[in-house]
Amino acid sequence: MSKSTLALPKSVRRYGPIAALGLISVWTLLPLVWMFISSLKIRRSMFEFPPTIIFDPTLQYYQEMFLGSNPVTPFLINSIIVALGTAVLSVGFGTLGGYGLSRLDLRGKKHLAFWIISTRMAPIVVVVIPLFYIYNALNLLNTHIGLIIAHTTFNLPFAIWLMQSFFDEVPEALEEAAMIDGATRWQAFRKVSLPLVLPGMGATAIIAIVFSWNDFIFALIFTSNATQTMPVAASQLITQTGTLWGRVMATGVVILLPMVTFGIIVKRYLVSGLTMGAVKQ
Amino acid sequence: MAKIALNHITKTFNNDSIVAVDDISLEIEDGEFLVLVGPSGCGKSTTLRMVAGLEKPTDGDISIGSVRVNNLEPRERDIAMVFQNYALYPHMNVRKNIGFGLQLSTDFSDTEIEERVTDAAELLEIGDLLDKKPKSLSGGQQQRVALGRAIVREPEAFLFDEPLSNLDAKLRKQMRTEISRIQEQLGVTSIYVTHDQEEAMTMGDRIAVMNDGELQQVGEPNAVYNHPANLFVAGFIGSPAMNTVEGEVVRRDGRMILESSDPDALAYDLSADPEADLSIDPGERVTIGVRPEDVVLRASPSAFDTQSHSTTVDVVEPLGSDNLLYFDVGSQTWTARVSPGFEPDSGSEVYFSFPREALYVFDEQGQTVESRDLSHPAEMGQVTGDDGDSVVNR
Repeated sequence: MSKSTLALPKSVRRYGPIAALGLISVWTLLPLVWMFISSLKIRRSMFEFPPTIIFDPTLQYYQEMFLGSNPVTPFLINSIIVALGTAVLSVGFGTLGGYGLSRLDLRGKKHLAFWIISTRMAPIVVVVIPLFYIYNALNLLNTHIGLIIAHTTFNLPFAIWLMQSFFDEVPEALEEAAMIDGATRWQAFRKVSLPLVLPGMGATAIIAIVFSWNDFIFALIFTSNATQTMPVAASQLITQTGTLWGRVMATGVVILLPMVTFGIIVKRYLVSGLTMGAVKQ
Repeated sequence: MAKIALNHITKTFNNDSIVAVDDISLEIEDGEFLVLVGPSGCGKSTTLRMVAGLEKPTDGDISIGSVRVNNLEPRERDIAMVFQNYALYPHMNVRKNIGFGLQLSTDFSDTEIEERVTDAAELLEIGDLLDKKPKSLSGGQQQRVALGRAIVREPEAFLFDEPLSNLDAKLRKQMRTEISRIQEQLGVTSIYVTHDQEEAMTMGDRIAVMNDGELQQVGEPNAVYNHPANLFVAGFIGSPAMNTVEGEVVRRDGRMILESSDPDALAYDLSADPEADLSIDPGERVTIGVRPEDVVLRASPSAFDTQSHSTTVDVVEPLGSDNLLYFDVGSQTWTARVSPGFEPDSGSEVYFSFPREALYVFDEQGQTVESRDLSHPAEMGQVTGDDGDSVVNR
């Protein structure tokens, strides 16, 4: 059987994937575009059908959001503190744990690794109530550190697993070479292995930050006004007297924007991190 | 530079269930190049790693110079190692790769390090690669960088763990010579691990053959080749491998005969040699061995003035310089290295024999009872007949 009888027409082979990718892109991006456009519209034109594409944009909601009587700036700062704190702790402990799991010659290592990841399998709501009691006793409610600990708890298993797989890709011979070259075990780790898993640390950090940034339940239960994060703040725009659609949209954009920017900046690391070791060197 | 001594070294894994290295004692003289050779899994790499300090011996002592190093970290042993996969630091350029050890283990100034790195690079002819990352280098160049990293530190000993096995055949031969040259030039005590017996033969001052975690034989390459301690060494050292066939010693009509299990295949009359005093009694089972270059092949039996045996040619492999001829002896396939002019057709009948001096005999335990006798080299593989239509080896 010749190759051509099995193959799809050239045009399908060529444009098929592009069409499919295009469809997925529209599916993903349309709501975001809608949100962005709506955040620039006055309330009345927001609900017009068919929607207007050309309109007089207004920055009214953004102005209200940052300069109004109830600005979101403190919530934004809370979100940033919690996300960065979570990332630092998750990546830090994840790197150490992952290194240990990767290098340790331990009986039942697989079971240990599975136990670690299994703690991530419980839904968040299951642990919220017990954690609430513990936090209450430890005075961690309504603190940044409390939320950071909660987020780290849920990120760490994943971070350890990710980092373990990255360390697995670093040949042990490299560390052995370093140790023969005169390095201590710690120096071999810090000067040889660690630089090589930087992309992995980047990827882990991104995942931790995205989780923390988007978390709603922990933030809703464990924080009050002083430490509220952006998602909780956004939810409070749905009031008993009505939903402030304009501000909801604008807040959505403000929540989304740092993540998108961040994503673009670290895209290179993310890709190289998640595909590291896919090809044997 | 220092002498390295292994004293009854044993290494087991998994609570003694796997014995990787079994009671090895070995001394490597100051400046000597010792090759540890054996099939994969024989424990040679584990032995090397114990010398490096990457594995701890379960039992026994290792000393480098006059220091017992059992409890010293790798960095405290003043050794350098070249790994099979080179283990170059991917995030550092060649300069930093080579200088890394100096930076960690010495208090040289940056300019001094730079100087030494440049010198090492010059010696290895990689001076123009110093600013490149390992990824952009070819296999041979990476190998040179790995060597550079070892020699720049001027250590007490070099340890090589199959450093050439990732290179193509041509480059491997070239680097083989180069490593020998550098080792000789620097005079650093070296242990070189390989599974390639040819590498072992060509590079080692002495070679140590290992199998199943046990040391089989240590000696100069030619001594090991000519006088293997046992059947394993005989089969492992030499390419093509030594021809062997199982048989027994028979006394018949007052003559001593080495007879293969299939008596039609080979019955070598030892009494042709009046000095035949095998230290083996009639009736004992033995293995008979002959090196391929010692087998004499002829087209007709009349060409031999002594005994010969008929066989059928299996395959002829021309190598250019000579031909490898395969034929059956009992259930075994034997190889003969013959001159390129002798090229019989597959399936044709030929006659083979070998001089008494070339004979190897191994006892039932595989220990060597008799190995080839080089005291009459003129007789080895000589043409004894005047048969014009046949050619023999050498």
